[in-house]
Amino acid sequence: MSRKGPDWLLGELPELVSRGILTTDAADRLRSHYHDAGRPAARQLGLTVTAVFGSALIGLGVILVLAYNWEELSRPLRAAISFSILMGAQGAAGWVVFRSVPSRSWREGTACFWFLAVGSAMALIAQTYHIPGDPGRFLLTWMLLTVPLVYLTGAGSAAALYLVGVTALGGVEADAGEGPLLYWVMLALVAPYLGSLLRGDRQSAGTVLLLWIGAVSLGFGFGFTLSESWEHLHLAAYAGLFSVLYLVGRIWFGRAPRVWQGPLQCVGGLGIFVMAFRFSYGDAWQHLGRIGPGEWNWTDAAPGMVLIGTCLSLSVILGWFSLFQGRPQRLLWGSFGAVALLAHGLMLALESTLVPVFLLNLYLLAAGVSVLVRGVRRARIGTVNLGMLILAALMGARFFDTDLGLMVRGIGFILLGAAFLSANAFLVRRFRGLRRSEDEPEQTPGAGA
Amino acid sequence: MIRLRTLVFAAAVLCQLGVPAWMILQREWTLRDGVRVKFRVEPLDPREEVLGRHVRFKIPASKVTLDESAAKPSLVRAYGVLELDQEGFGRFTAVRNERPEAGAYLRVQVRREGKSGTIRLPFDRYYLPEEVASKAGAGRKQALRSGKVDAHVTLRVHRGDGVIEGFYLQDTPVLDYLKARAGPNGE
Repeated sequence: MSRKGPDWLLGELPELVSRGILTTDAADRLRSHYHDAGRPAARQLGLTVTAVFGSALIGLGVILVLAYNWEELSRPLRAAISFSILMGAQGAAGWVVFRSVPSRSWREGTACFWFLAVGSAMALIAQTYHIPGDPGRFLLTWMLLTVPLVYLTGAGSAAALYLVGVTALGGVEADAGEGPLLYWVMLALVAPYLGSLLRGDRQSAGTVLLLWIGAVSLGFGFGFTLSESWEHLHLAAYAGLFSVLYLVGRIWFGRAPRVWQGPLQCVGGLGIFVMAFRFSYGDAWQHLGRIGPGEWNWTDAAPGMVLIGTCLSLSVILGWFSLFQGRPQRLLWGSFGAVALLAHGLMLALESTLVPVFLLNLYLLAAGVSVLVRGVRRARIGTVNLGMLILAALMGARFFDTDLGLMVRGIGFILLGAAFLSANAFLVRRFRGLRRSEDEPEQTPGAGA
Repeated sequence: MIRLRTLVFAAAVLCQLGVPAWMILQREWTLRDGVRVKFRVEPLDPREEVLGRHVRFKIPASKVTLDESAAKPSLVRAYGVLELDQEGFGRFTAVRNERPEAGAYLRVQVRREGKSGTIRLPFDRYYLPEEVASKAGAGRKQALRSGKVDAHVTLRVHRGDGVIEGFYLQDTPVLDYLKARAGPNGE
């Protein structure tokens, strides 16, 4: 049974109860029913996870056993061992692919083992012939040889390993002073597969895991691209990336019943908060420095400019789409790329860090309040706490930032903590009362008849 | 659709077998037909979990005079022409853009510094059985690190490709040397 529908429904229950559409009892009965219905899916997920871990451990174990470098084994025997392991993995995968084995755990497990077998075969040969260490070439060959696995098996485990490998390859290339093109080309090779997953069950565990890895990989990819580029462009490029991730996540994963099932808005939101918080300090802007006369260099700036342009264009499109869907509240967090660019522009134009620091503080304040308000409106104590946490972080940072005495700071913190706890207790009581009052008509005599 | 899947599967299997097979064949040809060349090395001694224990070494960079035929960029791929002394140790005498018609030569990267160039060979490791490597003990590691032992590698060189054939400490194959040093109890 697909969890997409039930999970969505379970996520909607608090709102349905708060609006009086459902009673608490009815919501509890629905929860109980769909949790029971979800058990086979959970069992399947458990089987898949154990199959992937099992085959990964076997694959890694084989690599380590072969790495022992058995003195007694001749070169032909070593070659025979590496080929037999690889052919065994290919045979198992072929059986799964052509026999259309329905078991997801088999598919994931064999794909994972096949992926590792390709790498171990090449590693053993490199060891036998003392081939010089060239991690970039090794990873590139390995990844190119395993791209077809992703499409043939359709296994998320192979795609996840591929994404990790490509990210490592990007890092090795960047470290060697090579351009980022290879990383993006290699990433594009699995884009159709990722696209097909998004068109299918978006909230399945496999898709969500891949999106977590993909979002983190994109962050690294920006780093590889910007490493050769100008430092001044890093802020706007990363801010743009996090805005796009946040908006995509809110638009297409906004109804994820659990927080971890919305990887893009999690990574995007966290990135926005960390960046906004960091640049709410003046020294972060001073570190960026100023552009001196004749310093502008199009060659150095080009990769960063392309990333910023792409992210801002996407942000505008996604922002317009959010408005079209009647969700303007997404725009505040989704506009961080533009806000960061504006703040940076103001710093360069005014040659002062005061205005951008003020702008970022204001932004963070508005972002925290928006989360708080959303939590109160939807009667979600977790969201309320998140909003309060953002505001508390901002206020705490400014307390440390200013030259106030220890006594004043101490009292300030006590008051802030007390306000936090009181607000929490008040809201919990209010939400409880809200639910009780909504349930009352159902409890009146004759109402259930 | 099924046919396409079969084709892709067959191509993937062939490539995955073909790449390691080509890696093996290329090196076996070089080991069989190549000229034996020795290089003095400076041994280091790290370990690498994925590829097994190995002795890491560095072949000292060679300086060569570049003529006009050598390419202009600062870092170039070229052919380093080798000359062997009476003991079989190799020394780079020239750098060519075109593949030499005869003699021993290696495909190398040359860093140009004015009219001269520096050749650094990519060979940097010799794999050892883990047991032998661990039994050799701290004394060997210290000796290797301090460079007190005379070390050299032998390469087979054929048509620009080089494959490491052996690693020697005090003119003794490394395995025999380490076993002799480790003693019967591996101390």
